[in-house]
Amino acid sequence: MVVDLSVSIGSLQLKNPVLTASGTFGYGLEFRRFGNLGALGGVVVKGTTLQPRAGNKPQRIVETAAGMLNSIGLENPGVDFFLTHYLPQLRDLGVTTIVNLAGNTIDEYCQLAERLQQPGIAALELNISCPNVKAGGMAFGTSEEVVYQVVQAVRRHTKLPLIVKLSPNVTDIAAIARAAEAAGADAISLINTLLGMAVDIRTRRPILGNVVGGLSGPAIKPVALRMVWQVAQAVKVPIIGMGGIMTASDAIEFLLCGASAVQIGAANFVEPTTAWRVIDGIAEYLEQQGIASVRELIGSLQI
Amino acid sequence: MISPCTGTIVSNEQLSRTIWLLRVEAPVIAQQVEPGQFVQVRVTSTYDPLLRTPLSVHDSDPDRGTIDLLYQTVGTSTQLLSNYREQMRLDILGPLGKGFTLPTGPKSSFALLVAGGIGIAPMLLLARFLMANQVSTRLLYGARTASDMVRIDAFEKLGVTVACSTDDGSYGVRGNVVDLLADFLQSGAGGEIFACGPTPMLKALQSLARERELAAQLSLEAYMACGLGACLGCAVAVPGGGYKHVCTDGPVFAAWEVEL
Repeated sequence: MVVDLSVSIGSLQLKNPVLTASGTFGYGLEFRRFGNLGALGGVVVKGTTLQPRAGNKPQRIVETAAGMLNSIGLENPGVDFFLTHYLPQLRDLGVTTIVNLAGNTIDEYCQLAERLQQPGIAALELNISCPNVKAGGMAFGTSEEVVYQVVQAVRRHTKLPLIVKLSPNVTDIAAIARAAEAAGADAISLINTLLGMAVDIRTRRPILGNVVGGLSGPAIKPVALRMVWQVAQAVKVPIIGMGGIMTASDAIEFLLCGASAVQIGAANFVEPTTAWRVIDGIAEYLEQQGIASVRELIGSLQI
Repeated sequence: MISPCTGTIVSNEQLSRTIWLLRVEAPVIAQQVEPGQFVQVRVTSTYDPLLRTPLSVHDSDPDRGTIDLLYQTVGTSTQLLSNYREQMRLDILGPLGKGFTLPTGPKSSFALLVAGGIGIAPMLLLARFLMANQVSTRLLYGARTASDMVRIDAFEKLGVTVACSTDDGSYGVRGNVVDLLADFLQSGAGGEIFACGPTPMLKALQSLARERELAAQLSLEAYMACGLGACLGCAVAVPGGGYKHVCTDGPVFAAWEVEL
């Protein structure tokens, strides 16, 4: 039995529902020795900013129970370097490339979106977990009004499919998702990392140079599943689910909860072939269950 | 396409209170590995600990297809690794990173290997390559106390001259290994320096090398997730601002390249 793995995220057609998450897979090129990048549903490249960013001071990573905290600080060489050095290679390899963009003002997001209107870029993913410099550094993604403003503004500056990546560090994730949808988002991806902290009792200092960081890995999967399920009830646009996916069965759980596709994050660090294994595992599951298309799984959770 | 490989463990031997020597079959890595490179081992298939553990390659035997890893039990991952017994299988990814640049030409026919504590780990493979290239090699090795010093015989077997220091004077001279190096340089001897050890030691060595205008290569350690240049977790500051990454720009850097 040949199973159909293709899904669509608005106007974006994916050959399968497995993408790699921003910041966990570099520009894809770091992983080309582990498999065919063109066979992935897509690669969401490292968070890209207008100007190059050096990132946060070390220590940037700490391992926690079944997870890890990171405070990389969006280290990246800037959008122009991405366009001249990485995009041509990704295009040549036939990679479905989605660019995650991050800004500190609405104007920066808009400028980035315009610069990224390029052949070889399949979609944009808006990282709204960044501090909003003009609003005292509070993250864009924590207020419905600000989410609406930034998404609406970017929407006017791009024709590419626009995915809005939500921060889980909010009171009502469904309300934020509805604001993004109302402002013209083509899809919602979630969850970004959960804000956390780790402490060294010997030095009595925080372990991360940035004091706080984002928690990822299997530890956050139950929270991510719950949020995907809640958002799926709240919006009509497609959802891309992520948070602690290590295996095909983890991915299938997200599809059942209403995600049309998934992203593999921290698992790429542990097992660099994870994304390919998850694709194979989903196909195997469909065959075993006698399900013709992965689309039949989406949102099919029985309550 | 390289995949993470699964190697059968040949031996896993406790050498001191906290230092272990693991030999594992990994033919491809044994063929490819260069001195100073590292591997990422996954000590459990469960999710705690989640991340792989970076370990420098201590030695390799391309004919037998084995590599040696010398490690110290400092945390959960290395404790779990010490429970592995022969015939068990271990998930290894590598070789990774940019290792030592070997000296070429007659000018650099003297090498000074400077190791502090578990910083001895990458030095044996380096010594093996240097000796094979007819580079006269001396090891300066410092540790806390005599019982923490391991593998000296393996270096001597290669024909390396070994001098030691311990913090308590229980083996070799009393003091730290950078002072041992300074004394050695005082005698008019020279050579290119290859160093690995704790950051304070490398920092002291960096300023000594700068003072004496000596070429030095430093092998650094950092917390990292992927080891592949993707997570950007293992940042090390560079002079003038910005960061390099220990996993792909290193772990070995020229002394002037990094700000410790």
